[in-house]
Amino acid sequence: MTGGWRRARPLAALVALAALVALLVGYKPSLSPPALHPRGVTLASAHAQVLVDASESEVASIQQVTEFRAILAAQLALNYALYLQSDSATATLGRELGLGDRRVAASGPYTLLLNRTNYAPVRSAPPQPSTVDHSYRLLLDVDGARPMIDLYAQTPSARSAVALVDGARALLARYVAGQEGAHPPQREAAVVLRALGAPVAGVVDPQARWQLMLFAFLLVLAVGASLLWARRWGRARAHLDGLATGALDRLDDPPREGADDWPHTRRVLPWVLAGFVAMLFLVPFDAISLPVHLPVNGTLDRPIVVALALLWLCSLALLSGAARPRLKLTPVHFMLMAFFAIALLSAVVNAHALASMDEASLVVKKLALLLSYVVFFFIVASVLRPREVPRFAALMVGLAVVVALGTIVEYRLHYNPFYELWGKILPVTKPTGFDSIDSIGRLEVYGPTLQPLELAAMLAMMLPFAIIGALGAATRRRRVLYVIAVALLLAGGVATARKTSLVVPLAVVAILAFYRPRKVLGLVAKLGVVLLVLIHLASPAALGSVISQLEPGHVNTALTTTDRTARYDAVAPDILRHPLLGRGYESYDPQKYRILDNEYLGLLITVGLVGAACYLGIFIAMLAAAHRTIRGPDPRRASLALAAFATVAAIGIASALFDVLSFPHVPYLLLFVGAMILALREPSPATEPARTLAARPREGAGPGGLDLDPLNPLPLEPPPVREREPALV
Amino acid sequence: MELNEIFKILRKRWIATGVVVALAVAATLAVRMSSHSVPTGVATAQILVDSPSSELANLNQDPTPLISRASVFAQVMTSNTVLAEIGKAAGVPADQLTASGPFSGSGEVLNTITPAEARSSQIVAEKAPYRLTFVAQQDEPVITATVQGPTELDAARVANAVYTGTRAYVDAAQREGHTPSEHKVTLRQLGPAEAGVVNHSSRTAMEIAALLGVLILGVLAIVGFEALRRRDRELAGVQHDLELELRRHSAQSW
Repeated sequence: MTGGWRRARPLAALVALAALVALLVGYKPSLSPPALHPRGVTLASAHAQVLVDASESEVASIQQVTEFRAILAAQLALNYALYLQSDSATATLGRELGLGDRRVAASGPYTLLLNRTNYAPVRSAPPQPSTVDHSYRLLLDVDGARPMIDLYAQTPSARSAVALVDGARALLARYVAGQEGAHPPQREAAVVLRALGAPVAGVVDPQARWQLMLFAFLLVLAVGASLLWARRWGRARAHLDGLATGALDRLDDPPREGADDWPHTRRVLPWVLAGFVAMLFLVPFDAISLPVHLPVNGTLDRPIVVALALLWLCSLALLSGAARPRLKLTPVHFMLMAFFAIALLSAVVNAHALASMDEASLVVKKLALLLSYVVFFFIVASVLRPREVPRFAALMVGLAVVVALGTIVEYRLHYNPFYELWGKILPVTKPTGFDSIDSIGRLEVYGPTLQPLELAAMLAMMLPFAIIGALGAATRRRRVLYVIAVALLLAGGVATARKTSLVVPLAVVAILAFYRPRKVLGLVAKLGVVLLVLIHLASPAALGSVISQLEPGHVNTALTTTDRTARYDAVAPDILRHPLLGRGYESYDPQKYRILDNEYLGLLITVGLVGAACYLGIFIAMLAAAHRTIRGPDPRRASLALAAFATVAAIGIASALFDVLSFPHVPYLLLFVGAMILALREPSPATEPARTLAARPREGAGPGGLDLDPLNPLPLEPPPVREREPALV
Repeated sequence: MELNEIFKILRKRWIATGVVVALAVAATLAVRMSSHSVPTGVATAQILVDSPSSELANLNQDPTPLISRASVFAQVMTSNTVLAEIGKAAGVPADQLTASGPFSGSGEVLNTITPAEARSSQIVAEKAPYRLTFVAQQDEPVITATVQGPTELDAARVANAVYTGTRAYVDAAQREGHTPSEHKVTLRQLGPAEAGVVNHSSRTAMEIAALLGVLILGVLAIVGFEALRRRDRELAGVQHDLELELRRHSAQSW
């Protein structure tokens, strides 16, 4: 009884703590008087319209409208919208709503504000006569062409939202009547404000409080239980991990005879994967739609993934021994599958709304893309072998250098070799804005991708492998080549003129320096100037352009930054509407609503807190797997795992800078690198020759088995050491 | 954990596996049964904003003011007053209708960069089973009304009611303003509404999504729980051995 209670006590304390946190998420306690007050997570809204008209209505009589008069009425509508934002009007509305001396927050018109300049001078504002209550918000909108004012209110309750809209309309009517009383116009010239119906109101997030409380409860429970579990078994886990990593073969040791590792292999799947990786780097596959009717999306990657999956299934069914893909479920697989399942369910629970908003087909397409990511990861993780990881890493660095060179060519010569050359063979659709200047004067450089940000992220992903290659190169020649690769990757990145091209590499260097401070900082100190010169020579003025965007005076005022921060407020209703499961995976169409440039925000809206937690879980699982290998005894595995760790972390950071999952180059590469991490945790397979299932050996036979065929034993002697230099280190 | 181990676990935990499969099938059936409420009907109707002496039949009439008026009309038609009239004409409660527009051509300007207050109103309106969109043509005094509704017939009924409802609103305004008959704005419906079916394939896709989603989560839960138990047992054994070792070492050092 006592022992049971002792074991259950931490769990009970954890449940109590989780319940307390959940309660605090939903309610705010007060001491005098002791009470719990609901937190202001409830949003209600109301919408109404006012037509600026004449006594003989514009919608009734054909005599009324002349073009001049229509423009005048639209201008009046704008004036009225601005009047309702004045201090006096907002204070009056505050008083009428019972806010005392607090004003309501008023803004707008947003439809007229689309053509903005990039940099606005920041001037000090005069002291406010009364405080603004930002929970009571009024938005006035006019489009400048029609005599109509839209009034939107957002308040903590539907009743107050209606009161605010009605109050604003009444105030405007009083104001206009007052003006007309003071300066009586002719009857036919007098403005008549027509209220077009009662406000439409409702609560945006009726379930938000309970869903947030439930999530907080489950999160605290999950994190607490994990910590308790880790504390309880910490020593045993370390011991087991030590044994597991210690038992792994060293990648620097010569391979066994007949190791059958890529590229010296007759296995088909690694070659197909290498081809797929080459396609990721060299082909603008997302812009290529095959002119054939397929059940999946016609972009080039989808049919290739389907073919890859069929080949993989055939290998699973027909092959045995070492050549057969080894499918193992790891925490990364677990989190990826959980994310996929949540994405499916987010669509199912919102099926009605999605169909109603005509977004169901978009969601189905995006789910198909997510499925292709999942399938791709399963295939790569089961096919890759530890000794193949450095070779694939070298291949990817080489391909990334080609992309960087192509990007530099595009930046300097305005010629995109990827789109232009592939366009001669396949139907390539160039992205809008191709070879043009964006709103803040940056050249749009695409490389093989659909978005400059995607290109910058892709090049930054390969940077850790190049740096690690330079750090561990066995010969001077190879080191020089890797340093040039680092310079080209950086130069290609900054040629995109995106802040991401500098922010992510800096984060990569910081992560590498955390694990290998002396080596990494030593390299940066020794080669920093050389790298800067090389980058400047390759992409003149690009580095300066990116740095100027990051200067303290600019970083907070540039549209690319202010737009990002403005989104936090703008998407609050969408997040609070379905906090747990979201509104449906990838259903927040940037063309229809707004471009978020933040994967986490997008996921909070579309798959909710649970889906976003699963997405983060994928990164955490990959990083945890890499961390153990980094601390392992094999320096080669550790170096590669460190590079992969930095790559994964870089995409974790880049996810806050753009919508990573919308652009397939980055997710495919991320999952490939994740599979490399898992492969590095595995021993090299025994050198059993590939067999078909028809010749499958008896149970217990083969490597590790006891009854080896005495007439055809596996080679026990290691082959002679090869003189060839290792691929990456 | 290898694939065959996963199958072994699922076989061993056959009750839990059965429950997961049953839940997945139930979820699929639930989606299928509730799919009748998924809006699959769409209908369009066109309205000409005209004068009593028809612009189409009068060479002396400049259509520009009518085009300008059509644009205003398209916006007025999204208001609650006109929606109530449309609902009355179609026999649908007004709170089941929501409207957006006016949109001119492809640029859905009013829907971009929407601030939180306006977005809140759009979200509240997502529940409405009937969605109406009004598009005013750039160079003609024609408004195209598109209605999405639960079925093809429902959508067509509401699309046909757009003309009647708007006409009722305009008549009321003309009565109120004592508009002379020769000055009255005249609305003409350009033929009956055309209706069709959309989103039909999304039903099947959602059923598959429900089945897979519940199945995957359930299997992950079973396998994850079993893996955790096994790991727990393994770690307990290792911890026990380590403690024994530690005790042996401390006894030797004494």
